[in-house]
Amino acid sequence: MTVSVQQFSITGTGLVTSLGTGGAEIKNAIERGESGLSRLETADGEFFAYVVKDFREKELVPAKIRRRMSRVSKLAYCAAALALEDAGVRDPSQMGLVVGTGLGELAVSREFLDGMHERGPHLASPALFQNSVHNAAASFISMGMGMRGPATTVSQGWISGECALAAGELLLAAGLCESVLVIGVDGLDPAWFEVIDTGPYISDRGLRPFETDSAGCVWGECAAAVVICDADSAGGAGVKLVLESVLKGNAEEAAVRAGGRICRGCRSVMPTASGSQLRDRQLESAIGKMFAQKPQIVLPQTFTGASPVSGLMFTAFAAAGIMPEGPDADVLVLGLDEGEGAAALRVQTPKEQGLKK
Amino acid sequence: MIDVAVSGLGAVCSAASSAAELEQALREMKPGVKKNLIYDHEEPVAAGVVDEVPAAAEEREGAYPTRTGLLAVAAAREAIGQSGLSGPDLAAASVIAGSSVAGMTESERAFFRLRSGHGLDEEYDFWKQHPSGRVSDAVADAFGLGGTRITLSTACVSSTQAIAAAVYMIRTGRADAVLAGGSDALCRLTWYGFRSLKVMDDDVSRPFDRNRAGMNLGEAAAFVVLEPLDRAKARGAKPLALMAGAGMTADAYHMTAPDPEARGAVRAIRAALDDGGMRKDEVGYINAHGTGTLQNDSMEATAVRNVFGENKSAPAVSSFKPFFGHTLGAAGALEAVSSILCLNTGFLPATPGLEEVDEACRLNHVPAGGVKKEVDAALSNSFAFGGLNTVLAIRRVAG
Repeated sequence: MTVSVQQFSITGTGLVTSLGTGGAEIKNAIERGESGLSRLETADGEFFAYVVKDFREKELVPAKIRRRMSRVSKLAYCAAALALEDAGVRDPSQMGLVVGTGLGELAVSREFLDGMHERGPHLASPALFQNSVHNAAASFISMGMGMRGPATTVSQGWISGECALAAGELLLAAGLCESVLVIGVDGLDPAWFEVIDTGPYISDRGLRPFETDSAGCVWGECAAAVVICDADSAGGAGVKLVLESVLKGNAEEAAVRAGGRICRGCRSVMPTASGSQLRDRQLESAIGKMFAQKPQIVLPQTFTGASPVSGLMFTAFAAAGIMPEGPDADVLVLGLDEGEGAAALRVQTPKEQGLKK
Repeated sequence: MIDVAVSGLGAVCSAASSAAELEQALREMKPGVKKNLIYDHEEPVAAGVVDEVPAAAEEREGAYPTRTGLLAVAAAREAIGQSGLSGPDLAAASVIAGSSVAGMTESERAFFRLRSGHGLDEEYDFWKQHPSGRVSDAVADAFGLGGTRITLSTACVSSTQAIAAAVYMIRTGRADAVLAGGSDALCRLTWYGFRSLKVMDDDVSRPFDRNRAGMNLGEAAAFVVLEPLDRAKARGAKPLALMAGAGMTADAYHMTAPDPEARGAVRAIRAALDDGGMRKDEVGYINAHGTGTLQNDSMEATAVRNVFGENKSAPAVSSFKPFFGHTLGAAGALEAVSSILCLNTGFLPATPGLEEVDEACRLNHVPAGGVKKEVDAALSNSFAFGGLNTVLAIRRVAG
């Protein structure tokens, strides 16, 4: 069973990645061949990941709430502010708000637990606790921007970004609001690497999806935001979305079913390959089954790293004309979860102009 | 507009191991919150602990169950069983789960082991246990639900929003049957987190009472099966209630404190009434969020008075938090299930422990001992960190 094909339009994008903040900065960095890969030194050793550095937080996040916010919430806020500006939204008070996040406030939870471990549970930090909930980012955005409409936070493994878009589209379809700000965000906390125990974050070669000597998944911090409205809104990038899950099968089958419904005529594919051999193999096989002729494969993650919200970030990349470059793009974004779920998005950008302002 | 029927109920909490038992516990007003020696406390403190978490029906290699997931599966099993969903209908069903804690119970245990110089437990796998999405995965995998699976993590309105989203999915034709609800196990992070905010009562909580001193935490799971009314009838299922509508708003006010003027809560109540096509004078009962904290209870009373006025015809109100504790991501679904049980039994339990109503909380509180009352329509309120307000509008099915 599938969620039938849903359609909506994107009228604004906002991006914060390890390559920079905002579409123009990111596009320029890619053109210069830059990578956001950074070396991190922790008590447990040396790691490599795609880390966001300066992201204009002082410019984009109001001072009155900034000091209380976690890094993840600030990343999300910046992307949200850029997307609203790009869409020309001046009064977001009645808009819907959806945040997708795979791991939420993992760093805040770790700080809280560290505090309990070091000082004893009865001296736990209230400030950290209130920021540890998955919906902290949505709450700060709601407060800072005066958004009083329906607001929710979605978390669904490696397709958290796609599921956030599905939730946003549902708010539109149910008539709860006329437009929705959808944000995907995930940060990085090296202190969790030992708990996560995925091992190979140690390559300085960066993320190499589909390569036989891939060193594994390399994490990338990012926040991506889009303003969506109904499909008939002229001038926006048109998006079709399918969520799919299968039973007692594997995510590859789900990906073939999801992508197969909307891929005909797509010129390029952006698979959310993470460097994990199993997931990448499943994605590669799914693409082979969907397309008679191999499409152009576009891999923003080689610049930005892998994230549970890659699907939403790639959608914003395509809608903003960053990758694939320029207008008139027609691209399939294909995502897989660790379980048995998959998501496919088809993003078609206008032929001549940029997004509706 | 499509009428959305509830065709199955399931619940596991400290007061009951099933919705059927919960009906009895509510009728007998028998609370599950008890004083326990918990975590690092030297004296017993009040909490809604589930004594026996049902084990998985089948042990699957590499399944890495979590306490939250096991609670969810147990509640879902009862809801599916009551609904009679099976075969292709079940295989096509979707699941929307709400959870605030998800696998944190297991993750914090792993974290503390590492910090204490021990290695990772072999029973722990971060990706299979920690992410919130694994709650809906656990339910979908246990019962072969092949539809959409989405997990919402919005603190104490998680499962209320899951039910609201399921209603929207059915109304807009995105699903024919949805298992919606939520689950949260107790964990140290939330336990000591709420204690750090100084909003917990070591004794059993007394929502709306002038001597109330805070909330009790609990753990639970609750699910409902939702489907179009016509479809439920066509396949011979008994509609237990109608999930008539929902209202979702944000305060945009403060991270933890509710807006004392209750503007967001008022808009959510009005939105639920509007969405459910429900007149104010039809609402006979409100199941309150009623946590027992000073701020929540007075804010909620303000909201209810603002919408319904202060007169004898205003709806009867009670909070069930002292029955099972504040079960966070499961609370909204558990209270929706409880509300449906009340509509169908015609008995409204009182708020346990409410002896002297706080002036700021004056409402038509259900009198001590409960009251027999035929109610056709009810609201179930939920509020959360971040200023989230979600209200469900529920109708009794005639006959």
